[in-house]
Amino acid sequence: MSHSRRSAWSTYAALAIGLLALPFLLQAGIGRSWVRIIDMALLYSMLALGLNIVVGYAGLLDLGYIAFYAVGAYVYALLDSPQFGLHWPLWAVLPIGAACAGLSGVLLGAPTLRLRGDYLAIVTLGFGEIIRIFLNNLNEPVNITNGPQGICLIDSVHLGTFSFSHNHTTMLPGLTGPVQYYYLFLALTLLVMFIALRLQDSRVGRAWAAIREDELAAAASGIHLRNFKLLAFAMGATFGGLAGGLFAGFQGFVSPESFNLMESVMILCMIVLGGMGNVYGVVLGAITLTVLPEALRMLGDWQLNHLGHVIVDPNDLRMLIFGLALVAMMLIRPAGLIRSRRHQREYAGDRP
Amino acid sequence: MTELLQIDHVSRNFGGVQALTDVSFAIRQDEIFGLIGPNGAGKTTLFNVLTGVLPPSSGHIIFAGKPLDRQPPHRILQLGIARTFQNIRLFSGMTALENVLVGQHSCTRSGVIGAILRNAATRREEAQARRHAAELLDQVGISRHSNTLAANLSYGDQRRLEIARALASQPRLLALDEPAAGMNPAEREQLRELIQQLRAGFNLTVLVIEHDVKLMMQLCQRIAVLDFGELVTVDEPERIRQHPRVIQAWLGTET
Ligand SMILES: Nc1ncnc2c1ncn2[C@@H]1O[C@H](COP(=O)(O)OP(=O)(O)OP(=O)(O)O)[C@@H](O)[C@H]1O
Ligand SMILES: [Mg+2]
Repeated sequence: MSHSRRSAWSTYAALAIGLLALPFLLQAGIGRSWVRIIDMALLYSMLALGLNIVVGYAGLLDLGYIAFYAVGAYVYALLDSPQFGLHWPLWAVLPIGAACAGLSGVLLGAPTLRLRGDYLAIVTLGFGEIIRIFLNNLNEPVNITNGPQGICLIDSVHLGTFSFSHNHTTMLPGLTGPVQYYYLFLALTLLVMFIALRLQDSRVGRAWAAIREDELAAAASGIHLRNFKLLAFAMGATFGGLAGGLFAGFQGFVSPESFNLMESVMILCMIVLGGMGNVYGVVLGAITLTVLPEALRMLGDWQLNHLGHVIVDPNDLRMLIFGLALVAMMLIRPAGLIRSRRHQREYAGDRP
Repeated sequence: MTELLQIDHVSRNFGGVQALTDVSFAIRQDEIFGLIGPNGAGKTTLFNVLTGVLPPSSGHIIFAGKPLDRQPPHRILQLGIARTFQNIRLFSGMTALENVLVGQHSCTRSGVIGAILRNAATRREEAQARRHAAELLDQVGISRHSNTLAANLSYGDQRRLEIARALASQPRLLALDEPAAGMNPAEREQLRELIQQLRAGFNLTVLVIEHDVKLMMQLCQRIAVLDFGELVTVDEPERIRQHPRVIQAWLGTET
C-alpha cells in the first residue's frame, strides 16, 4: 500500500510540476500566443464545469447558459471600468458577479421547472437570447451597457496594486500577463473542479442524479424537485458568472456579441465531447475544443507559408472537423472521452 | 384499533374515464391491508392520488389525522407514506446501495456547504446513512448486491430494492403496488414472509396491491375490492372469498 501511495504522490508531483511549468514551456516552444489560448481554455473549463452541474448532474438541458457568463462579465465590466467611473476591488466584484449570475440562474430557472427535454432546451435558449438582447439595448434611455459597442477599458484583474495584466519580468523572467492569468485561472479551475467533485459525491449530487434518472421516483423518495432543480441552476450559473467576471478582466472588453447562442452550443459540445457528468472529461472537452480551432488556424498559416496560398480555409475546416468529431463520438464513445461512472451505466443499460 | 389512513369519498377521472368513483375506506394502524381488483379497476390510480402524484377530482385523504389535500409527493413521503411502483422505477444507473441512500434523502440534512467542506457532521451523517442503507439491503435480502447496478439486478431483487428504498424514509405506511409481479411461487412465498417480517420489525402499516388472490388471503388482515373504479367491499379475507359480487365479477374467472 505504501508503495502505491508513493507512486500516486509522485504522479501528482509530476503533474503539478508539469502544470506549473506549462506556460513557460509554451512560451519557449510554440509561442506566446499559446499561453493566452490556454488561459481561455481554463475559462471555458470553469464554464463547462458549471453547465455540467445543470446538464450532466441534474439532467436539465440548458441552452441559454452563456447568459450567466454574460451577467458575470457585465457585472465586472460595470463595476470596474470608466463606464460609471467605478473601480471596485476584485474580492468584491467577482463574488457580486457570481451572485448576480446565480440569482439570474434561479430567476430564469423558476419558470422552466415543469419543462423537460426539448421544451426546456427551447425555453432556456430563449432566455439566453433575451439577456443578450437586453445587453444590446440597455443603452437607451439611460446608458447602462453601452449597447452593441460594448464596454472597453475594463480594469485588469488586480489584487491591490498587483495587476495580472502587467508583466513582472523583472521579478521572474518570462512572468508575463498571460502567464500570471494562467496561474490564477488554473487555481480557480482546480477549485471549481474540487467543488464539482465534492458535490457529485454527496447527498445533493445523488438527489440531482435521481432527478435526472426518474423525476417521479425522485419526488416519491422525498426530493423537493423545485428546490433541487433551482439549486442546480444556481450553482451552474454561479460558476458561469465567476468565469464571466474573470473573462471581462482578462479581455478588458466585453460586448453582447461574445455571448451568442453559438457559445452556449459550444460549451454544451465540450461537455458532450468530454463525457457528460464526468468532471475530468468536461475539462478535457473544454481544453480540446478551445485548442483545436487555434491549432487549425496554425494549419492555415502553415499552408500560406509553405504552399503560397490557403487551399483549405481553417475556418471551414474547423466546423467540418467539429461536425465529424461529434458524429464520430456519438458512434464510438457515446458517453464521451472520459465516461462518467453513472452515465456509462446508462448507455450500457440496453446492451449488457 | 385506530385508523391511520382515511380515504374519504375520493373520485378521479381522466377525461371521460372514471378511474375512481366515490371511494371511501379506512386503514387501521398496524394492519396489512390488501387492494384487489381486475385490470384497470383503479388500484394504481388510488396509489397515485394517495402519494400526491395525481390530485383527486374530488374527495379527501386523511393520514394520521392530517388532510393530505394538494400536498406534493415529497411532502407526503415526509409525512410518512412511502410507496413502490407497479412498473419498477429504480434509479437504474445507481447501485443498489445508492438507491437506498436516495431513499434516505428526507431523513438526512447535509446541503451544498456540507458537501463541499465535508465537515465532521456531514461525514458522520454520510457514514450513518451508508450503514443504515446496508442494513436495509440486508433486511430485504439483497446485501450481496449492494454494489450492483439496479439495472443489472434480477426482477425479484429489483422489487426488493424498491421496498428497501421506500423503507429508507422510515415511513409509517408502506404502499406496495404489485410487489409479487413477475415472481415465481417460491419467490412469492418469500416475499410474503418478508412483508410480514418488515411490518413487525418496522412497526409499519402496509397497503398492498396484488393480483395473486391466494397470496393476499394469507398476507392481509383486510382486503378492499375495487371494480371499475368503485369500491365493492372491504372485509376480512374469508368473507371476501365468499362475497357474491367478488366471485361473480372477478374471483371466479381468476382461478
Ligand atoms: N395517467 C392516466 N391518464 C389517463 N388514464 C389513466 C391514467 N392512469 C390510469 N388511467 C386509466 O384509469 C383506469 C384505471 O387504471 P389503473 O392503472 O388505476 O388500474 P389498475 O387497477 O392499477 O390496473 P392494473 O391491475 O392493470 O394495474 C384505466 O382505464 C386507465 O387506462
Ligand atoms: Mg395498477
